[in-house]
Amino acid sequence: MSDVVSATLSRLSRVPGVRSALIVDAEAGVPVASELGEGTSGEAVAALTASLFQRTERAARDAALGELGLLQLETDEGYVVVAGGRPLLVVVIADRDAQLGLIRLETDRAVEALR
Amino acid sequence: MRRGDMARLNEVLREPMRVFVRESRAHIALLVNASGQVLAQHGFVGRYQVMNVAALAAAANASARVLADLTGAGRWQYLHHAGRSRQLFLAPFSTPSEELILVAIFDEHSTLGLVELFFQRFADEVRRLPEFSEALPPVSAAAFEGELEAGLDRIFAPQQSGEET
Amino acid sequence: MTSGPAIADLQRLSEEVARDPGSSSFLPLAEAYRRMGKTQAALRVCLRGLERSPGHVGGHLLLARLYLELGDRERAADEWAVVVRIDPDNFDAHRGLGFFHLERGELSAARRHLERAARIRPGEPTVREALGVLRRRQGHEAPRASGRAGTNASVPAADRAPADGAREAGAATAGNGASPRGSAPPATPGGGGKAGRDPSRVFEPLGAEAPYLGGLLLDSKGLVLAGSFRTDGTERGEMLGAVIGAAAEEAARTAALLSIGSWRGILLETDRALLHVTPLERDLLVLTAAARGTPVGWMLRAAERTAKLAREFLEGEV
Repeated sequence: MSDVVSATLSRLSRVPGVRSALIVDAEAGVPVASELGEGTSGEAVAALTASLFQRTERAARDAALGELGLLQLETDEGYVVVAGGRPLLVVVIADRDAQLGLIRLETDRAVEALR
Repeated sequence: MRRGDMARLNEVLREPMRVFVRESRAHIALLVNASGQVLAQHGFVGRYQVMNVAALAAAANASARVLADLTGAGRWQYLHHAGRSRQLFLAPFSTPSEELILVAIFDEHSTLGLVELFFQRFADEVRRLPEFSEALPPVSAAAFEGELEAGLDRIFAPQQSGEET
Repeated sequence: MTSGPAIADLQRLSEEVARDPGSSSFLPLAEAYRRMGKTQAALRVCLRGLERSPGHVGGHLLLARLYLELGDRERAADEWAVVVRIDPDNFDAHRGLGFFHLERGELSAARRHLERAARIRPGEPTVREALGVLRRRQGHEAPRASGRAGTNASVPAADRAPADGAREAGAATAGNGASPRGSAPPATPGGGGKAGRDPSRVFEPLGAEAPYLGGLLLDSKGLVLAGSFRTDGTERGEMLGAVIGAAAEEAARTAALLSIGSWRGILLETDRALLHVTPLERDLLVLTAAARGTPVGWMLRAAERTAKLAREFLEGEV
């Protein structure tokens, strides 16, 4: 499992524009593994993205839209992509000029690899 | 700690406690000092329950500290119990004036990571308060009981009625 | 219940397939099992046969039928898609895909397949009826007085893309914002029609484009100011508005606490739909919904257009 996690993180963090990549315990909201950009708190990212995914997941279910698979938050400074489900989430923080398509592709692969 | 001090502490801690509970989405929270004196609370409805939890939290903190010393684990950051529907988070932190302990209980609307994240912010906020930025003179055993009761009186003043547990 | 081959025939077919898994006898054997109600056995035989003969059109069509019987419409659609690649003029596959897309509100795709099916077999009644439904949904003709609520009588049971048929209450299917309210004027892209005066139809200009499912303008309390969102024939805008507000709040908080700037939008992919939430001024939110599988680039553009229509509505221009 740890080889899969390391390999997954390594692939994700090599995508141009990715600042940080994490594997997060969805239930506890804590990082399992991470490759972090400078000044980034893995604990904060894990806690907040897990909470965001959890709340959004609940909203989707309540609205009869099924299970949430991926969430992509766009901000002034970049993107946060959160994908997966229980027990693990894949989280990527990327710059605004990052190749989002490539990030989404690698995120999907990461989710599959961690299943 | 004198009666007047307790009143003031309760007041200054009200907002940081409220923010902690709101942001972490904890259900119940309690702040005590190492002696088990209650400084602030959110979500409890009875003095008896508060007193018990406060005393047990102080005891748990003390025994965990000894355990950490005996095993060479150093200072522990928090204690976490995961129940079926609720979880408990208990974390000590130091201020210049004294050591404090935060107890938080949360359910599926929060996570350990979130509680811990906002606990850190809460602890930083409390450390910055003037009331905690200087070392206090020692308190006599005789004054302790009185202060404990005074603290509880303040906490269960009428404006806090109606909170759930 | 079945009127399939006798047991002896079944045995003979089974022996042939066992001897030669590539034998075309797999098809009648699978069909025999299907008629006996042994759907899983039929599925196994069919899949095994197709492993050996992947280009077998009849096998894929039977597999589509089996998936329909099992309630798996998406897999059925996959099989029809395979068939049209092998046999571009296959009527059954085009019809099946037409009904499938019609049910999902993917009207352009539905039209493409149904019109192809109609050219292959002109006058075929089920396709003709489905095209009528399609045209009414797209507002290109006045609704009929008979208002047939889509009986299934003329639709072959196994070929009803939804197991319950491509009914006109394809209003019962994922809505696209186009209201089946009878005398609606045709929706014009760019909001040129009068549809926008009714708040629930503010986003109707986008409704003609599959795979659009709906749009909502929400206030800071999660209440719907304009727009509509329907799934399975039910209006769900209020519910969606109420719950999505909490998610938007959390997104704003996350962005602030991670110090990554203000949030500009959230894209959500669920196993039933794609949603985009855009913040507007004054704590308002715009929500765009599309069918699952919609290209993300399209979705982001659609979200921009939804936001534009929302602003026009707010400014009273619509």
